[in-house]
Amino acid sequence: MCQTQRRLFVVSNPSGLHMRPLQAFVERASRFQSNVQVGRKEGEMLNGKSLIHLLGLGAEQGTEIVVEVSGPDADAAIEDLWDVLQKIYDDV
Amino acid sequence: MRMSDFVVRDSITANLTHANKDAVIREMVDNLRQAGYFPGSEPDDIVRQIMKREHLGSTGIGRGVAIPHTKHTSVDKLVGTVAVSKGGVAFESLDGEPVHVLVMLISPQDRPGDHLRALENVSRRLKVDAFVQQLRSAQSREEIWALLTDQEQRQG
Repeated sequence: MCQTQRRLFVVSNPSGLHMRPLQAFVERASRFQSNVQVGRKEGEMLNGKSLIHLLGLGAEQGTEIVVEVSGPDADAAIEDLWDVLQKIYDDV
Repeated sequence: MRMSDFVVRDSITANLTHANKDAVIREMVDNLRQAGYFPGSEPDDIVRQIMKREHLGSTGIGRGVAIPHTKHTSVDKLVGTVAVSKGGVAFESLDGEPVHVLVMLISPQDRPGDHLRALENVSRRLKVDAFVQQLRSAQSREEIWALLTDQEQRQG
């Protein structure tokens, strides 16, 4: 059964979504079968399992981003990825 | 922001002499010093900070590309350099492959937005495999600079 989950997230990390939080996101997203897409609200959606693509987000603190997960394990994936995004990384 | 806004032209190298991570980071910082940056004892500390960041997780992002970076008090605007290794550098990359194209970023302490825009810009260029291949094949600093600026013009 294929599920789709979509959530809006406001970047809380003071330094924005720099390489370390994105690396953690990609690493976690890659554990799931579901397709993971991330983008700015109203913007292009990027492959959430590819660091080189996600670095294109350039999301500063306060930026609204959309996470969309679709596939058989979407429910678990969105919860897990949500937790990863909440984690604060205060340096580069 | 464009790569030519922060990459120091005179610090680019098409042929890194070293092959291990520490030595390559030092060589790139030294190339910036030779181009007129960091006249004092800053290079040692910058190398140390970059390696400290690498210990948190490699900035080798796969497909032969690495973006080593740090914040440092000695810069008041983002400074970058580009280096190509023909033989490849062992960088503990995400995909385990050696690194051939390195973009180093040294950012001021209080400008996270500039750092994010540089990452955004570098990723937009380097996600194109053909562009990475062209950089890897470049024979000179001027050839690399031409590749960086030529694509910027086409992208507008």
